[in-house]
Amino acid sequence: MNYETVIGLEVHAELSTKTKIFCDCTTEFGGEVNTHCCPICTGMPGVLPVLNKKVVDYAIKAGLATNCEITEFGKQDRKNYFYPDLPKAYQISQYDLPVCKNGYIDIEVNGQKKRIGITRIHIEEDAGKLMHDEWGTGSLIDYNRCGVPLIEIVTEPDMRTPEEAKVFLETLKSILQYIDVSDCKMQEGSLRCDINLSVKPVGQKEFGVRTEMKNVNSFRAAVRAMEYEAKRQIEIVESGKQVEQETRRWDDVKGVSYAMRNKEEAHDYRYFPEPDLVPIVINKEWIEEIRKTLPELPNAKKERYIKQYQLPEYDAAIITSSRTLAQFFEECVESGANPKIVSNWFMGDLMRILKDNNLEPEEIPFPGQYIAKLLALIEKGTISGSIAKKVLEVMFDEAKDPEIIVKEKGLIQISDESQLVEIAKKVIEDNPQSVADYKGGKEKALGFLVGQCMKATKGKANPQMLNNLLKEMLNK
Amino acid sequence: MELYQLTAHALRDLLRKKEISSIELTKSILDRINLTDPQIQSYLTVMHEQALNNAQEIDKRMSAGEQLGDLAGIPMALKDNICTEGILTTCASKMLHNFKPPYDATVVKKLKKEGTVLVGKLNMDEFAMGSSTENSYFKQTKNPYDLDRVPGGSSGASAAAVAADEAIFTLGSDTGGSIRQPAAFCGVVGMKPTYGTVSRFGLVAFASSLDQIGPLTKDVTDCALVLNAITGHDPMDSTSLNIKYPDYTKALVNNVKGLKIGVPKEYMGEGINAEIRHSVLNALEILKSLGAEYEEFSLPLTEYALPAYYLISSAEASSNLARYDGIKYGYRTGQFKDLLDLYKKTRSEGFGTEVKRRIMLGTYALSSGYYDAYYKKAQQVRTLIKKSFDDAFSRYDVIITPTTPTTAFKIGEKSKDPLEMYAADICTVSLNIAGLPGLVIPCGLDSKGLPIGMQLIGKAFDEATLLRTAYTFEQNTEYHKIRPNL
Amino acid sequence: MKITREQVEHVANLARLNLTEEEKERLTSEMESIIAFADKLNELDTSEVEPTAHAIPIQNVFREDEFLIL
Repeated sequence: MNYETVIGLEVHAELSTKTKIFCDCTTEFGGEVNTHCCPICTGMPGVLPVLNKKVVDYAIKAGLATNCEITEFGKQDRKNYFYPDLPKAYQISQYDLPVCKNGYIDIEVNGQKKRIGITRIHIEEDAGKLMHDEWGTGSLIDYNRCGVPLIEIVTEPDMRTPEEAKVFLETLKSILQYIDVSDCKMQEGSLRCDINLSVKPVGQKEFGVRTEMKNVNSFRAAVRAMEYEAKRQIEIVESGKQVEQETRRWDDVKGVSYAMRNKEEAHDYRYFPEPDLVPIVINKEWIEEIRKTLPELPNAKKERYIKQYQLPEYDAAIITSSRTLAQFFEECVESGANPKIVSNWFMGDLMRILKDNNLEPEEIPFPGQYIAKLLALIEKGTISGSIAKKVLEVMFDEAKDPEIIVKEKGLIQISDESQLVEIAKKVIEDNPQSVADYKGGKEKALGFLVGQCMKATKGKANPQMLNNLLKEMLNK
Repeated sequence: MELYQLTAHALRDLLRKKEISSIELTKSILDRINLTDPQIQSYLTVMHEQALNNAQEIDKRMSAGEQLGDLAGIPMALKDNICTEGILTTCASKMLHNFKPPYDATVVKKLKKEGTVLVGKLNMDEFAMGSSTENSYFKQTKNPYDLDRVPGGSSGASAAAVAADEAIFTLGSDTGGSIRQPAAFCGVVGMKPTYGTVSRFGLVAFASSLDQIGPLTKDVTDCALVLNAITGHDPMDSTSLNIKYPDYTKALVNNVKGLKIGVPKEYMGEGINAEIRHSVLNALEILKSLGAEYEEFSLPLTEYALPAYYLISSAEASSNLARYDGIKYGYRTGQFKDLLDLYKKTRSEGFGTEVKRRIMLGTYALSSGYYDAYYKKAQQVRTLIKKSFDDAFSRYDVIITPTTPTTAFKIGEKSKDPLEMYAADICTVSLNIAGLPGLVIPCGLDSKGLPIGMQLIGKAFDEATLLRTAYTFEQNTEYHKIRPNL
Repeated sequence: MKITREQVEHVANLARLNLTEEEKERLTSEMESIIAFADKLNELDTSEVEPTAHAIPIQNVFREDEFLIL
């Protein structure tokens, strides 16, 4: 029998506010243990929360960017459970009146467009971090992350393959980065997701029993976890057993998931309205104020690139997937470079260097104008295309203006005919066999001789001129 | 007269005239504590040295000519659920027996700024749950009028300390009557201000939507002075109101002409001791003779306030008290197998019986399947009760009722049956549910010589009318001058 | 509403409390009588009534995203 997976996601994104959600401690990542906290975020007796307005602003912004309705009358609720990383023993979250609801994101998988429903987006506080057993003496707690603001984005169970879920996550990440509400650094935990997954025979309407998977820390891990879970569930169903509704934990190192201990987890969070906080009432003016701050979103930008710059759809999609990359692209174009040529460089060497060095677009150490300058150097014939590739590498290492690099390293193309003639003469002398071959009709030998000339000039010879020159000399 | 017997406003005048110093006054209070507190058992912490140092500091500033507030140099004490930086704040619980907060409550900051002298922290029912101070982990505070009787609760020691002249004034907290009921039992003035008037930042939470800090004083003038010092908008408390707060001393006017007083008949029925009814009626007649009008009316839903109160307060408490888990501060059990065992042992050993009972009730009321039937239902009833008060205040300026169904009861008398104990709050809980201000003043003694308190209920933010009515009553009677024989 | 011993045990577990046999017994009957008292609220029809979380209506209380200088 053929099975279909049904996937819904719960994505947590840490908001990039300066201060925490309910106190003015910094949200900065990576501080000394327990230095970014105060009586409020560590839940000391008697303290009270006061909501950071920017958290609501950002949630509204995320809602508008994902086509949500914004809730006019919202409130915050307590979610009660005991765990050492949660110092109040309740998390302030939102239960029945989240800031946003009923939205969607359009994704494209293998050329097919698909709409994924967003059930809701709500605001809540992050918990601390437990550090287990480093010295075998027990656990320690770092409260720095306690009270860092989060939005939780809950999707409809609209995805049918791990690939769709991955594309959804990438699209969502790109939107959140575009609107500048989260840096979405998965490795720092600022974007995390839980996966709800079930399987059913193709064509069957009712969903199967679903499991919830936690601790998924990268897109790659998400795909692996989903593939693993789908396979596990299908095996259970095939063997005539029932999938159990449970929470599972993904172990990315071992590539397996296992059920979390369930005996004491009664799953009764006893939500009730947070009495220390007051309702959040969002009027039209507030929404419009936020709407004005929305930038052009990735989909719209992609369409524009296709139309305005005649980029292939695939290239446009890649370049606009990251706000930084798109900005970088626009800087190049605004500095006078040909968009199609820029795009080719992006799709080729730039992406390759990023990938080889495991860099994010944010980490490109030089401005977009430098790419424009580099391309101008090729066009003017100052350097060849192959030298330009090398210059680009150096730009990544040294963050310098390509013009300066070319000068400093003496990479200017040799286009002086007399100089080239000297070089060619020497190569002809040194390679009588190849010369004979060429004269005997082997056109290929010319390529070898050109190559030898290039080698002698460390690639700086103008290849076009050299080609013509060599032909001329050999045909004499 | 000894200095410890005087009111804050009388002492303010003496201090300003330089007839006395804050050091002398503070010594007088500390001596008094040494003398009477072995019997009364009000204080959990007395800060002899620190108080004298503070007093000396204030004296210096005063003699340097610095203009200080009305309460500068006045010795006072705080209920032990109000956080004081570096000073034990135990909530009278084993759970927090060693807890020294790293910060001051907003009211403490305000009183420090005012130049008051903190002499100590006062006993209470554990986490403010109780009506007799019998639920303290540490000690039983006695009623200064009869040492076999309770001082009321949960701010029992805040009332007893004022009645026994062991502090010039104190602060308590009131979630369902915890300032007003002990004020009535101990014959002092106690006010629960409108919800949102005094910052709750630094008050260890019992039930967040009901809790409010307020003063216990020797007379109405002192009540106004303390209100001036502690009310005001606090950006650290989202439920604190950002409005202009009046100078409450302006309300101290001896005039009730034309004042319309409503007396809800539901509060004057069979459940209320006849001597108390009589005493309140007598007080109403006095106010009438001074130009006020009063009439009986029906305040429906009164009987639903108590169950609604116990559901809401216990539900909120079950969540507020979840943080006491042995991980971060306070009590931790000695031996445990794993995390769950640590939690359960710590909490079972650290909390007393009443606290556990309320946590159980509150957890139940919020648990899956019961939320709508209990918690939500109680919040809906809350809407109705609030509306019934709104209706009443369209006709009356003040509502007057007894504060308690009985005068102070004997220690141990009601500690067996929780429902019987809860009934002690019958006259007071509606105000917390509706967020309204309530002022309790002494209006006589019963045949056993125990104080009776009259409760004045006002519109939200209309503390001024309550103060004016009480002040007028006080100016024309001698009840507030009655003191226990110690 | 009848309160069973199992319910008391379940609630105690949610609240992270250990109860002795004697406490379980006592709490079962106490909670039952308190809940019976609370059931009095069912005499009121609240089907059209909004719940009140705070007696004093306030909304939109925020802080700015700034470090306070205290």
